[in-house]
Amino acid sequence: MSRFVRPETTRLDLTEGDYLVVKTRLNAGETREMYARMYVHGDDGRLRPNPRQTGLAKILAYLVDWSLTDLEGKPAVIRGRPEDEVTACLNNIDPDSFGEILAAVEDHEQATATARAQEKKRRDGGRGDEVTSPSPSAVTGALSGSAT
Amino acid sequence: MGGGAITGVVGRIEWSYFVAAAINGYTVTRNGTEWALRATVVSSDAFKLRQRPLIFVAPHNKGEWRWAIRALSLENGRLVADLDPPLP
Repeated sequence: MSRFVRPETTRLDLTEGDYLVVKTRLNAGETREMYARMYVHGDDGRLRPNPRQTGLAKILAYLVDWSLTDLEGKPAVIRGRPEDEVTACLNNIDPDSFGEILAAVEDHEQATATARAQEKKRRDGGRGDEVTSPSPSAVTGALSGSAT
Repeated sequence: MGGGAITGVVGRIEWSYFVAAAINGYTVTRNGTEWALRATVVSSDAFKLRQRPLIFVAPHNKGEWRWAIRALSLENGRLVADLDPPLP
């Protein structure tokens, strides 16, 4: 099983018929980038959560596309757009919608983490059986008979 | 069978939802059924550029043109690629 993250997406349904398309999993670089946005160095040099960025960083990390339309009913295009444009879109939606999007992304992240943990447990369980040392007789053959 | 060229400035090469390379300055040429791309790459991700399928995306006023990349080479920021016909 490869340790690289395959770029797959998951559709998350929102209210009013809208939907999000999000990354099924983040890779290491995306995860690091998300955490880098979420935290700031305080005056004492310690990392502190940045309340302005915490939810936004998570959405930006996962969001690939959506069905949202602008005030004129045209698609609010975000797919393939630079991050500052996606941030601008997110900053201009109403707070309830932002909260709904964040909750959907957090639920997706939690569900994915749970599924992966279960998969890992299942895999490790299987491998555990394989790495158990076989009995000497299984390796050398039955130790019966007489030496000559 | 026709020939011709499309030139543009901003483009990108995608691997799924990732931008594998950002392009600033490109020419797509057609010679009969053969399509080719020459472009200047301003940033790229070496791992993502080795993955398949790769799609060259050229935005325009009414949307974007997209071509699947058959083969590519990148040297000193100059990218040369063989393309399939444009995607619908």
